[in-house]
Amino acid sequence: MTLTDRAPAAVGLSRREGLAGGRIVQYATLIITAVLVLAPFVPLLYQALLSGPLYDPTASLSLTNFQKLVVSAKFWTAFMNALLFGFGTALISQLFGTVFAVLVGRTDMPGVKWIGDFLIWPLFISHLVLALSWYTIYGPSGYLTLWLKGLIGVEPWNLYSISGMSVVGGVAQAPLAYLYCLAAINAADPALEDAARGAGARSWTVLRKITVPLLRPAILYGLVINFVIGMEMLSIPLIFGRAAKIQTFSTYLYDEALTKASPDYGLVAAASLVVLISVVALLLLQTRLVGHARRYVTVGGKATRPKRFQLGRMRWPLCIVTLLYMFFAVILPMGGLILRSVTEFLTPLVPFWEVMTAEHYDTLWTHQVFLNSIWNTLLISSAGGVIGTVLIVTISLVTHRSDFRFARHLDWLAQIPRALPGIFGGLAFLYLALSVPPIGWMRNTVWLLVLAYIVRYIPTGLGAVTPSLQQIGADLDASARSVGAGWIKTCRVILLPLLKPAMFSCFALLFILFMREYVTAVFLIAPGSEVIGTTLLQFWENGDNGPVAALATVQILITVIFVYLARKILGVKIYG
Amino acid sequence: MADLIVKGLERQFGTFTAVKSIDFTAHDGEFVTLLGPSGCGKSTTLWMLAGLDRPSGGRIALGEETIADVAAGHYVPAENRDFGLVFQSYALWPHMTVRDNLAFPLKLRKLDRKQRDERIEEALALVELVGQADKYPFQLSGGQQQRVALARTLVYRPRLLLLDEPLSNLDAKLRERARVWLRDLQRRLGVTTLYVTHDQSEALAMSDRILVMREGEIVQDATPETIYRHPTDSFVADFIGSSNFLTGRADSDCSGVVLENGARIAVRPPSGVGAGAPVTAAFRPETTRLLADHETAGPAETVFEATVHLVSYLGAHYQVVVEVGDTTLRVETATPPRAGKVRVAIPDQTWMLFAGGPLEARKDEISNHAH
Repeated sequence: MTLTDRAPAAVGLSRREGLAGGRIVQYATLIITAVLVLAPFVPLLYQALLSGPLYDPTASLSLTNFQKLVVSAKFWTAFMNALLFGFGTALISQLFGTVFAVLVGRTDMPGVKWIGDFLIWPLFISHLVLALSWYTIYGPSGYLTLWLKGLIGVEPWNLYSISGMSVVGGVAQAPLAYLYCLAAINAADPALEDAARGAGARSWTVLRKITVPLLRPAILYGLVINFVIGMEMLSIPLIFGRAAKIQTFSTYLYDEALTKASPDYGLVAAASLVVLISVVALLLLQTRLVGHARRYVTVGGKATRPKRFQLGRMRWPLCIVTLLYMFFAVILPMGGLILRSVTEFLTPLVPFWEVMTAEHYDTLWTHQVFLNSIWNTLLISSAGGVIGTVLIVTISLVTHRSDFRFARHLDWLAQIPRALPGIFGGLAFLYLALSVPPIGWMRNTVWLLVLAYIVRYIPTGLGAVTPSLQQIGADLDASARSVGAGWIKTCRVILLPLLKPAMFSCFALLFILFMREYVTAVFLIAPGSEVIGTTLLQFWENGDNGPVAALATVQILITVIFVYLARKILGVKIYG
Repeated sequence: MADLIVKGLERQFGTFTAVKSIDFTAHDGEFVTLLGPSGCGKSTTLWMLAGLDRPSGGRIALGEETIADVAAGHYVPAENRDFGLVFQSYALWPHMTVRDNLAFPLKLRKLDRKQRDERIEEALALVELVGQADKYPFQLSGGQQQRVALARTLVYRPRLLLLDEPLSNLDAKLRERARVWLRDLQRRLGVTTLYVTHDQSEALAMSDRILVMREGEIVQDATPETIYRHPTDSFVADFIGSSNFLTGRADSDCSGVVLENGARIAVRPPSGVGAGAPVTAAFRPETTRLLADHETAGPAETVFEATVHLVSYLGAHYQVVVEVGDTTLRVETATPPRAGKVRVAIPDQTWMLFAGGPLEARKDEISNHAH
């Protein structure tokens, strides 16, 4: 029989496949996501409204915790400090971020490509490591501080203050502000600048009147995000604020929950809810503000390459200023930290080559807790990265490429963790572990951490996957359906192969985020489930700066090697 | 195979009704075209047939088999219909070779390798692409991709072939060739075909039957000749081919129409139009002729005194824009007209008369749809 024969339907190649498989996957995804995202809330919310600890059978529902919180001067001071620190962090990071984005994105400054690549590196490294490295160089007994003090007789700066902390926070968050602005610059229609030039404006005027004003939504977005991140940041306030008795939100929660002999869990739960509500309010405010930014819509034809501004005589001076920033903000502190890991102590008074030692690394290799931390971190990053990627890709497929009835609900659920401060997620999982015995058992393994980490970064992962999925024409899966493929088959044969690059990017992103994550972990670790970040904190508090520097160096090395390999071998774009 | 029967098919998006309870039948082996301006609901209709869009009301059946029946809650998903849909974008899977693209539907139907290879060769021969099996879609030209898309659909012998503007991404010359080729192939295969287009010449050239759609409704369902010669209303007359429109009223004994410019057409107005009621009269530019200086009009012709306004040379003929009073009309002639006053003769049998008043409002609407 040939195609040109009239084939009766009965002889045709008809096939029947049930819908069941696809629907099962879709419902399972919805249920898993709902449980992962919502379940941790329940015990925390319950605890906040309980007069005693969760395990106390005599505890009753009440608002006592909130009453205690309202009259707690300590909490309100921490609240104010968090606001100030968040504000300073946002302002400083945005200043650096905007300037560098314009320089890298729109000018003919020498070495822009190389500099642009370098500027985002601090994003790959945890705040904790960055803070430790600044401590090594600029802290009260830091290398540069002591050297300058010897020269001029007075301490040149004081990082143990809100403004000092804000500078560190600003440097840590500048790459994020830079990325938001750079994305806006790259998306802007060059015709807008050409039109201004055509109207007779000179470069400087175009820059001032067109380019930078068009960045306003990105600047606003960056400011709010960095404000929120600063407010909930743990590492910098912990390392620089404690000695000066400056508490912020996170250090308040940290001290109350972890350092007290008998923590008031009710109070901590109530406080973390206040943190949560402030963050959600800020994010809603931001959505409103940016939502009104229609007049800044700049998407247009991108046929022409934007012409870069000629800096003229300022080319080299601006380049040198940028390089100096990179040196003093990142290279010198990191270098100092690495140097600290191979010396007995680091001070300008003694040449470092006279105190070189391998003892800190010996300590790492011989102490179980260090080896455990490194191994656990690698395990969580790889296994968690894989599991997270699978979950995230499935969520993305169900929400954007299925006729699932609850697709929009799933999307909404998956975005919730975006509004959850990291410290809140850690606490929520802690309460979950305290109140649900089987999960309490998980507490002694790394898998509770894996779960908590994945939940926290679902929205980030979706951000890496969904845009790529949306670029795959909907006709491609519609055509697979019309030739007879069910939903699962369509996803497997058509969509997943086309999503491969996005999946690698998602995995690489999760790996790096899990590698540097520690805030979620501080509340969840138990002996045997330590990760690098928590061990760094623990030993730093004991004053063991040598092994801390060595462990931080190991983390930096793993990250650098991973990022390099991911880019070279997998061709992955991270923060593209 | 069997007839495709569509009854009361409806699609609503919120409060907007994209397809308003349409009925039609496509007979076994027939080539039926859904034609209309964009937004008329033709693509939505096709997607509902394919199973890629769920109807809000009505019924679709292929012979005895119900494909979708909203009232009975019955719905066969796209993958179980065994229909073939060719997309405007072709939707070839970019990560698969031509062979893999064609093999996928066959693998789903559990054919073994030998059978698959036979089918693929046969389908590629049918679309004249033998020897291209191992290329990737991006290595092919637009015309070749279009034929691969068709082959991928034909390879599993669909019970119904659905084509969604498959030629619209080809350049003009290629499109004309593809039209003849596609129509010929469809006749040989004898597969019942539904074809969606907004291109009236495509529809006229290829179809056994055309369904003209407007705002979610089928306004005429007839052969290409009937649609062109006897459009049911002024919308169809304007959308298919081009027409000149004049307004007038039925005369006192309903034996003719008196136009606003004073001329009288000796053709009976449509039935149901009372004496003095408004009538729209239309004629096609190619049915007219310009009278020579001393030539007299035939007995069955209407003559307008006109002034030549603009002449465009179109190769095969001249298009002449003339003014009759304050009305602008388009006519066609084989020889260049002289400037100044001319007489335009329109044979009585070519007039198309519709009940109702001026078309202006409707014309705006049509041009809005078209852009």
